[in-house]
Amino acid sequence: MTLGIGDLLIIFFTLSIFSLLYKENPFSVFSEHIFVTEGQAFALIVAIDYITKFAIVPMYKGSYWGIIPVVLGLMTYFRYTKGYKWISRIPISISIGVGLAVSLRAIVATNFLAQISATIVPLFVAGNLLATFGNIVVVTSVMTTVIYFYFSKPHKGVLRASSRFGYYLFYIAFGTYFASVFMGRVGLFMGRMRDLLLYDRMIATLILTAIILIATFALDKKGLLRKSIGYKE
Amino acid sequence: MALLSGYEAQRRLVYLILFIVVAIPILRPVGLPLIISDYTLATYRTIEELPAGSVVLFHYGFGASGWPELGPQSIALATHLSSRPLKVIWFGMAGMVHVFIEQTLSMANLGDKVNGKDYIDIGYIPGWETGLAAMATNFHGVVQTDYRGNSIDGTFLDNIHTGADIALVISLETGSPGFEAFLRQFQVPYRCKEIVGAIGVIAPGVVPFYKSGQVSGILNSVRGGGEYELLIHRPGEGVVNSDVLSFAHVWVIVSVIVGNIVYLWERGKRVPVRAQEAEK
Repeated sequence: MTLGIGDLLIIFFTLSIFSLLYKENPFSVFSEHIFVTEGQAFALIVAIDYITKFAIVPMYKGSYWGIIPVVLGLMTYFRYTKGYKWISRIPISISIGVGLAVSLRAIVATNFLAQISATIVPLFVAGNLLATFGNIVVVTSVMTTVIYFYFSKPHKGVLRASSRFGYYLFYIAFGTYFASVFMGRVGLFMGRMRDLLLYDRMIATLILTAIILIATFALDKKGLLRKSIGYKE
Repeated sequence: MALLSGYEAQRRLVYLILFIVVAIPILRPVGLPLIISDYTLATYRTIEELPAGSVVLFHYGFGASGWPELGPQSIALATHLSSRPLKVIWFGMAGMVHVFIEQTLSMANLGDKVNGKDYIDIGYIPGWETGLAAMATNFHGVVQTDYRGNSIDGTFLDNIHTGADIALVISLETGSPGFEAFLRQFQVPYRCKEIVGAIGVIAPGVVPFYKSGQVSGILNSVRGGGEYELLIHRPGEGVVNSDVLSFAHVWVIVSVIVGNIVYLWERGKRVPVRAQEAEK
C-alpha cells in the first residue's frame, strides 16, 4: 500500500498539534488555523446545501413555505446594522420560543416524574443483598444531597451530618465524572496515535516528527519562536 | 539538558511515557480480559428482543472528535442490527455526519442487507430538538430524499409517518442534541425504546436514566465498543482500544501515586517561610 496525500496530511497535522506540548510554534498555530477555517467552511457548505434542498428547490416547484425560514434567517444579519439591530431579535425570539416549547412539553415526564419514581425503591430486597445495598445507597444519596441544598434552616445537628454526607457524595460523583472525562480524552489521544502508528505510515511519521522537532528547536534556540507566530517583542 | 529540567521537564516526561505506553498495545495488541457490563448486555438484549420488521432510528450526534470513542460502537451495532430482520434509518444532526455513516456502513458486516430495502441513509437533519420534534410528528415533512438526493418513495420509509412507527432509537453522541431530547420527542410520546452510545464525559449522566428504565441500554465510550464487539463475536478496534485504555489508565494511576509521594516528600523537606524569616 502506498501513502497518499491524505495520509501525509493526517500525520503532519496530528504531529503539528502535538508539538504544542513543547511550546506554541508555527506548526501548531498553522494547524489550529486550518482546523478552525476548515470546520467553518464545511458548516457553510452543509448549510447552503440544506437551504437549497429544502427552500430554494421547492420554491421553483411552486411551494413557497420555505421562504419563511429563509427570511427569518436573513433577518438575523440586521444585527450588523446600527439602526435596525432590533430586527435581528425577532428570529432569535422565535427560535428560542419554539425550542423551549418543544422541549418543555415532555421535560416534566422525562426529567422529574420518571427520575423521582426511580428513587422510590424498597430498602430491602429479599434474597438480593447487592440490590438492597444499591437501593439504600440511592435513597440515602438523594436525601442527603437534597438536604445539602435546603437553606431554610441552619445546618446543625442531624441536618448538618446529613448535609456533610451529601457534600462528600458530591466529591464521589465529581471523581466519577473526572475519571470518565479522562477516559474520553485518552480515547481521543488513542485515535490520533492509531493513525500515526499504522504500519504504512510509520516511516512518514518518524520523518515528519524529526522535521517538526528540528525546526521548532532551531527557532527556539535562536529566540525566534514567539516572533515566528506573530508575537511582537 | 534545559529541556529536561524543572516542572516543565516532568510534564514532558509524563507525556513521553504516555506516548510509549499507548504505542505498545497499538503495535502489539495484548488482549487483556474485558468483563461485559450490564449496560452493554442490556443494549444487546434490547436489539435481540426487537420483533422482526421493526424500524430502528440510528442517530449520529458526533463529529470527527467523537469517532475514536464512538466509531467501534457504531460498527459493532451496525453489524448486529444487520444480523437481524430489522430496518434501519441512519441520520445525524452534526454537519459532517455523512462521512461517519459511510465509514460505518463500509466497515460493518451488513450481510445481505440492501440500501433502500433494509436500511437508508437520510444524512444530515438540522434543527436539533426542534428538528427531532418535527421528525417525530411528521416524518415526511422533514425527510423527502435520502442523503444523495434520491426519492424515498417506494422504500420502507413509506410506512414511517410518526415516532409511533419507530421501535428503537439508538443515539451515539458527544452531547448535542442529547439523549434526553430523544426521550422527550420519541420515548415519552411514542414509547420508543432508546439506547445511548456515549463518550466517556457524558456516560455517567446517562446512568440515572438507565436505572429509571427510560434508557434501555448504554454503551460507554471505548470500553462499551470493545464489550459489544466481544458480544457479537467480532473483536476488532474496540477490543484493541480497550487494551490501550487499560495501559494508559495504569500509567496515570502510577503517575498520580508517584506525584503525591514526591509532593509530600518535598513538602517535608521544605523549611517554613516563618522559620526562614526567624533565621534571618
